[in-house]
Amino acid sequence: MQQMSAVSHTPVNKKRQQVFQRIEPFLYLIPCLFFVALFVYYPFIKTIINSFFFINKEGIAHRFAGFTNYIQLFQDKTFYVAVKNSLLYTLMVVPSSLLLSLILALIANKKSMLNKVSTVAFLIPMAVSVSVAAMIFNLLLNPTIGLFDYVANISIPWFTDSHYALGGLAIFNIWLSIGFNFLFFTAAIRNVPKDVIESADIAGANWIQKTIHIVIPLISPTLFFLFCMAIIGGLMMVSPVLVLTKGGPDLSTTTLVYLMYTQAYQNGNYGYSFALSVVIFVIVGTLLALSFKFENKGVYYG
Amino acid sequence: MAKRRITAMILCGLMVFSLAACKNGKEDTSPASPTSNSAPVTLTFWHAMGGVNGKELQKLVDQFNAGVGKKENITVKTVYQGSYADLMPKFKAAEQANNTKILPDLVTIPSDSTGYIKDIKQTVWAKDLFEKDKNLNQKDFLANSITQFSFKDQAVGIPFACSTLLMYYNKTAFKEVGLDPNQPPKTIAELGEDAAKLYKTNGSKVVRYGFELEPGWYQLTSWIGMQSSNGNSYSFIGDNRSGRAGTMTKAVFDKDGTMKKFLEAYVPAMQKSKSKYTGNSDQSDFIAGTNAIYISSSAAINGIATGVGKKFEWGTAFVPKVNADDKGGAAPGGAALYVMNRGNDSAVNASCKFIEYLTDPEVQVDWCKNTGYFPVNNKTYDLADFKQYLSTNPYFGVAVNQIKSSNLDVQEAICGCSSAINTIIDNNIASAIAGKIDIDTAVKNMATDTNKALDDYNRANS
Amino acid sequence: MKKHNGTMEKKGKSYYITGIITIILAIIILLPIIYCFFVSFMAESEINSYPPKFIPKSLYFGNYIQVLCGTLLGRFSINSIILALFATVARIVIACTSAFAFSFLDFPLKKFFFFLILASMVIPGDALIVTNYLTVTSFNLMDTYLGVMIVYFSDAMYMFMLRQYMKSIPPDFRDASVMDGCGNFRFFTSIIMPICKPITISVFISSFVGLWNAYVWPLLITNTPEMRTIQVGITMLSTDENTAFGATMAGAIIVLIPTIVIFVLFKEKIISGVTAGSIKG
Repeated sequence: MQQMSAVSHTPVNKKRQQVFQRIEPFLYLIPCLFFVALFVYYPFIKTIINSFFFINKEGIAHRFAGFTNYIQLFQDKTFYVAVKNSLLYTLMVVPSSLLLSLILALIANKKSMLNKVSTVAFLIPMAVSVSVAAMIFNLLLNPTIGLFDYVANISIPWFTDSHYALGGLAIFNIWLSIGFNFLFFTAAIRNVPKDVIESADIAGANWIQKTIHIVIPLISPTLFFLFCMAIIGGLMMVSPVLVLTKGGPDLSTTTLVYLMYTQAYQNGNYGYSFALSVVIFVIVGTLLALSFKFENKGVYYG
Repeated sequence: MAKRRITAMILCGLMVFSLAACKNGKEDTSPASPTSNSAPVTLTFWHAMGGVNGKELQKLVDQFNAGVGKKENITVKTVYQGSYADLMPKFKAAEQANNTKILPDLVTIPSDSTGYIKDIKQTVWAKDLFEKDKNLNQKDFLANSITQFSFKDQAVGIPFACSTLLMYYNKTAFKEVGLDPNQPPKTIAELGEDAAKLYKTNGSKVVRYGFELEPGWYQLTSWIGMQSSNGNSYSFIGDNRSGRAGTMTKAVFDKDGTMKKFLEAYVPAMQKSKSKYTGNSDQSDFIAGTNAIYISSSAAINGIATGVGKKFEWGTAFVPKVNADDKGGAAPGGAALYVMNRGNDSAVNASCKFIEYLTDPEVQVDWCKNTGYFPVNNKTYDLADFKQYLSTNPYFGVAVNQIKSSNLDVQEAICGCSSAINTIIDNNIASAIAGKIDIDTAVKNMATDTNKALDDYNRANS
Repeated sequence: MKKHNGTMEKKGKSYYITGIITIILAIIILLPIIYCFFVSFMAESEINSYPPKFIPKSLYFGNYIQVLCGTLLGRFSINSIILALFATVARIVIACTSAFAFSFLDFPLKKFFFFLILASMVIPGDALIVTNYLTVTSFNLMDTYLGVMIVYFSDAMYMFMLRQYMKSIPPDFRDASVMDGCGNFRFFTSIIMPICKPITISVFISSFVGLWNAYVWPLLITNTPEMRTIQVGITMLSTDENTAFGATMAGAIIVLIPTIVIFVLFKEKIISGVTAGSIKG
């Protein structure tokens, strides 16, 4: 309960108070900065430094390599395949999953008898872990013993044909991300002030008009957040590949982080892997920064 | 209201930090220094055996702890670390931490990581264990498996979970298309012909594939290894005896012609029979009856038996040869047990006693029956109990016959980048079958890329 | 909620149509889970059969028995709850305080620090795991609750989300409180936090579920079965040689139950938005 009026105006106290005002914001920041520094930046800086060394199979950097790891990376055609796959995949997943979750959130928000049911139902995909979901989908989308192809009377080898594998993963991840996006969209939609909606009703706006001109702008901060998360998640997707397709068939599902992971843990090629992680950081960071350029234009803050 | 929230948060914070002291309550296996036999020793044993195999291992460990262990004051504590894909990164991380408190006393390492484990400074090579403990003799162990885990003719690991490549086939489906169920295909060419007959469609939908396989490093080890070259009835994938006489630096399957012969048999067989050449559902498809022939480890026998149940009749057979006159047989696969020296000699001695127990012929009978791995002790094969088991278990008998008739030099290569080479082989075979490249190009690509992978790896590790 | 315009009949029709659409969508979206539920009652041989079955012939409880008796499910669940609960609380505290700083306070290099923390989301986690393992083991936190939790304490994503939310709170609030002579901390605890309740709840749910499903780090840092989390325990039902579909599905259903319980308990909080009382002049 410290207040400006309660402090006496002696020079010492004033000085102390000024110092306190200067450092106060940092007191709020320090916990976050500390953990981020220790568990994210410290390892990452080590990784960056190591990417300029030859790393042996025990993971120890023992000889300076200059840019050799990076050259090896940029000369490897698999790297470019991975970039293409990750971008293509992100393009498939981001608009679809955001649009789908938004529609679901809007529907769940509309007054109906099943509000509570829909809210819980649409959240549930979030509760399933990636490995379990992968097992379920593997069984469901199996071209011979899977239900999906049997019922639809088609024989698309979802995860074993290089043309369909990335699409299969996209379907899988869209399903998985429904819960998370829905959760935050719903919170944001519910938070739109009722009086604004009511005045729109009085002015005679129908549901679609209300949604486009009022709800969406007012939830745009959340929309922007989910958009950024979706981009990052898409570009850095790896777990489903590890469980379902293992990068194949024919490198069609080798994504950037999957390549990084296998080069390190399976091939013992740590130098390549570290160089790749730095490159991934640059690529995704750049795209994120670009997104923030649009923040000023598209996002409306109260 | 706000105060309550803050108080709650502070309390939570305190609880978090007080739990920091909350370990699991069990003994920490720090290497103590008593040297007398009566001082209690606890051994940490990291393994990757889950499910049924894990239960069997736990049973044997419990028996040890209650029997020999109690007498000698040794307790073995098992830690299941997931599959090998989880165990290896974990072990490598623990090794990097350079902290012997974290390392286990005993660990199972799969054969493709033999190259890694042999260079770890805490590893006690099997040959040293054999010298130390007169109850452990190298000649008691299955020769193929000892060679499998040896480098420069010196045993590094103790064979532990041994298997071989095996062919499973659906006898009922064979009968259905007029093939003799007791005459499984002996060569890859025959495999192609049989698979072509077994392929079944219903309109435009494939109802059954004759054969499914996405081959890679694991299968090629046998298919290259069994061929004759350079005057031997076996062949290698790479130089320096596939990495067993020294570091492997380049591929030899191109100049030996073995890869070409394999592809010339395999690619047309797959194309003509329209068999499925990508995907890893071959086991579940075999169990479901939508895949008539399946090639995999002999350790899958029990799983397949449970899955198939009484749905159809099936059998096992030797892996089909590349050429009719191949004599090499098939390569053994699996994992070995390694003892880590954490600075405590009595722990190493205790580990030896545990290994004596695990590899005892009678214990091995039980191990084999419940896991489907071969007994690693030669004396087991003479036991009446085991002979009877073989006679009532023809599937397994075939696997035993195959390994016993296989040449000792048909072995998996020792190489640190086997995974990279696996991808190279996998992709090129798939492209050849799809008709995207011809066989000579495939062989050339495989050799070039393999050599590059080996170069990169060796350079980073020199 | 009273609606006072005269289109009562129109509301009635769309009321039911929305309801029907909702049911259809819910079934489609829940299909994989429903399938999982049915498969958990099938024996292995029935799962791997053609033509594929949706509903089991008879209820096979072996999978559930295998999971309940074969694993330390109770202990795993407790471990998972402890991890998810405490790490989530820590995350909320850290995320709220830093989001508050970025939304309402001014200080030098504000943008730089914001992007610094944000950029941490973009660093591939797998590159960091081994170093974090070395760090945590050097503190001797192997196999401890704190060791499992500590890497999860700061999550830039939730800080970002809260900052978005806080930025959309009208600045009038701040001005009003300054006029009342309110310092930053009191403003934060008495005004901002209550307003952020809906979003905090969403963050809590998302974080809790995410940690409930955490796999790689708990696997790496724990050495004994007693400290394992539930995801790790369930995944270990399968082996290299044999995927235990039935048992894993049974495990998945068991693991799903607490999460569904939380959803049902919290749905009221998610549904209710900002109460009228907080929007004041």
